[in-house]
Amino acid sequence: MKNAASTLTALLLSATLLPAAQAAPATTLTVFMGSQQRPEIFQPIFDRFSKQNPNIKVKIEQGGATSEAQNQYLTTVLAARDPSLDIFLIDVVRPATFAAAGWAEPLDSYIPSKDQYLKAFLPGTIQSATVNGKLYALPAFTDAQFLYYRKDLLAKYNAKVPTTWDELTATAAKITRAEGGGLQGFNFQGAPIEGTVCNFLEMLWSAGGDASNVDSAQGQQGLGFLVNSVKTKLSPANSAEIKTDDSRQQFQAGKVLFGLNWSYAWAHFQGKSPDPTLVKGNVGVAKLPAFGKNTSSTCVGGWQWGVSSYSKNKAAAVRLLQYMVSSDVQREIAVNGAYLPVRRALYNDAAVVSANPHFKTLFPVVSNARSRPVTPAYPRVSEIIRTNVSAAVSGNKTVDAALKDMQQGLAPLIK
Amino acid sequence: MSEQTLALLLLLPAALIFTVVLLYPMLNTLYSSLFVQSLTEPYLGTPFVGLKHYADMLHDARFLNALRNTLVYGVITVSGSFLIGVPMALVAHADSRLRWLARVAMLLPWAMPPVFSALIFQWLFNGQYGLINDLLVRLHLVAQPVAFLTSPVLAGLALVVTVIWKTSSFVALIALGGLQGIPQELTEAAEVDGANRVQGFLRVTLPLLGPALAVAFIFRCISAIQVFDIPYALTGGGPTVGQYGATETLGIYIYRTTLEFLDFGYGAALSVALFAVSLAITALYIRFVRGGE
Repeated sequence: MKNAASTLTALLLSATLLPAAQAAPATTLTVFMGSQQRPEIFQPIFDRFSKQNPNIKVKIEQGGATSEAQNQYLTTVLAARDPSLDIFLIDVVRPATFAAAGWAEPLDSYIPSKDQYLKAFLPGTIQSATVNGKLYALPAFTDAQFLYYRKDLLAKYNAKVPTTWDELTATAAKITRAEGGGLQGFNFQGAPIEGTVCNFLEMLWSAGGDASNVDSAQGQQGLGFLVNSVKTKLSPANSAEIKTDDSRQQFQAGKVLFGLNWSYAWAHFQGKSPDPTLVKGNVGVAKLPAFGKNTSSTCVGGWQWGVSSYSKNKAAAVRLLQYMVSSDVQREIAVNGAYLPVRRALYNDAAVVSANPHFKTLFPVVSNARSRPVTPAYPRVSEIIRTNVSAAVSGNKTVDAALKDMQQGLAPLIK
Repeated sequence: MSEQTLALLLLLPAALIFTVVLLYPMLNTLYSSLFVQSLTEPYLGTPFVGLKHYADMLHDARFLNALRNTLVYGVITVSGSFLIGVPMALVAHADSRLRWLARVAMLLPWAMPPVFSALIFQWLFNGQYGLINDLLVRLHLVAQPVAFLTSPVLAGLALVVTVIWKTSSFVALIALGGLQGIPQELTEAAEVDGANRVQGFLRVTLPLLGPALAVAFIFRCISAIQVFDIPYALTGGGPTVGQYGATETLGIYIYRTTLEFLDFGYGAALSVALFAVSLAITALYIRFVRGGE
């Protein structure tokens, strides 16, 4: 009671005695993010920013547990040109759509000597945020798909980490035959989801192909590999319904030799997980294999900060964004949240590496990660790829038919 | 204040809410359907195109696929929910020990959120760890687990089972209400006149239950036409056969067109089409209610 009274007095005093201090009205930035982006890690950083910039307050608005649910919320708010959100955290595949819809503010004019500034970032993260030469977002943290493998099993059979897909098949066949007991040789995502789009693109790219021409020898080799892997029982029969987190759980339960997954799986495997882990200490992570002598390729993942075109505080918003991508903040979220930093230099940073020793291995992978097609029509592109890949993996379509249908659907969208 | 003024005043809040949350969005959707408004193609502008979207629909193979799916699954699930729901109501009404069990069984699926139900069945039908597969394998009915949700026919079956499970209780609840409104004297009188139980049911109970069942039927039809939540959460409209999803309903197609592909103009036209179908059924309903007067 006494406290409340004194606060009230202080407020009244400041209101009457300090009109000058109120001259610069306080700006409140509203930041939208989903609950799975762990607002508890970002809140203290926002608070510190507010302390350094006393006239800017930052408020988090949470909504939606999945990328789709968040996008639906943002679509509703932004299609209504609602100015109440200043900043949004969006999936790496969305900037092009947001740019076309006129929802994301181009950041170029707010960032002096932009090209120089962006040199310190991982190229894939900037590529995903760049639409027709303009920058529509800054990367919040990055991600990529990696090859997770069982160190203990490879050691037991004196096998090497595969660098080609054929090696992976041979090693997986040998070890699963000897181990038995339902060990999966190779686990990937085949359900009609984003992870599946990535799995397919990675195969296609590492066969030397490209999304603009999927009905090709490279497409055959890439998709053919996934389909064969199911046919030869190296991958589970129901691969066409496996989603990202199913993959994670199965690997964690010790049922998988080689698995494709994002970086979040690592912490789970090491025991930071609601599910028990049977693979702690026995997990290795490497870059994805390739076909023959081609280069290994992986998809850029992660999330990006964008500024709403309808925001009334754009300059302040960009300031907060630049703070979020600063070395200090990137180091902090890497150490506290195991997020992969968007700045190259941090992969050699003592604090980051001591908190996440595996980041050193991941650096060559994330620095070569490629972005999925950057186009406003990405939601359609994604649907065409994921449903056809899933149909081929389930056996409902032949590889040929799936690639032809994909090509036919993608042709007008990817030029 | 006259009684009429009072009545108007009391109706005002409802009318206001109706206008704001129902009438306005409806008219706005109708209006939007006449314009191009594709947010991912801003270079198209927002020109007035009249009924073009409606004409496009007739050649849109995906729309026709979704419409066909909606109607096929509608017919199957509506009939299914009556075949299960009405007997359930009879058990819940009868003077037996099973009565309470039937009443609980009736309320549980009805009270459960649709997406929740869909997720439960997604696990049951899982091709690797699903309970149903486990049973089938243990009973030696199949050698290998069946990939229910990724095979077009079986995914359809899974959808039908889930929707019927969820909606039978609605039919049962309405039917039970109807049954309780039938005076017992009538069935007793039939018994006295020498009718056996089957005759009593067919000649007395069923005709008197008719109005309640008709109401349930129309409501079920409308919700079947508009179905979105269960198929979206269970199969996501998949698996894909040919070019389109084997279980993609009109509701899912509208959602994708509008909220994923951001084609608000065409999405609005699709919504109006769906609305027209629902309206036709509602007209039947109103006609039926009037006819009963």
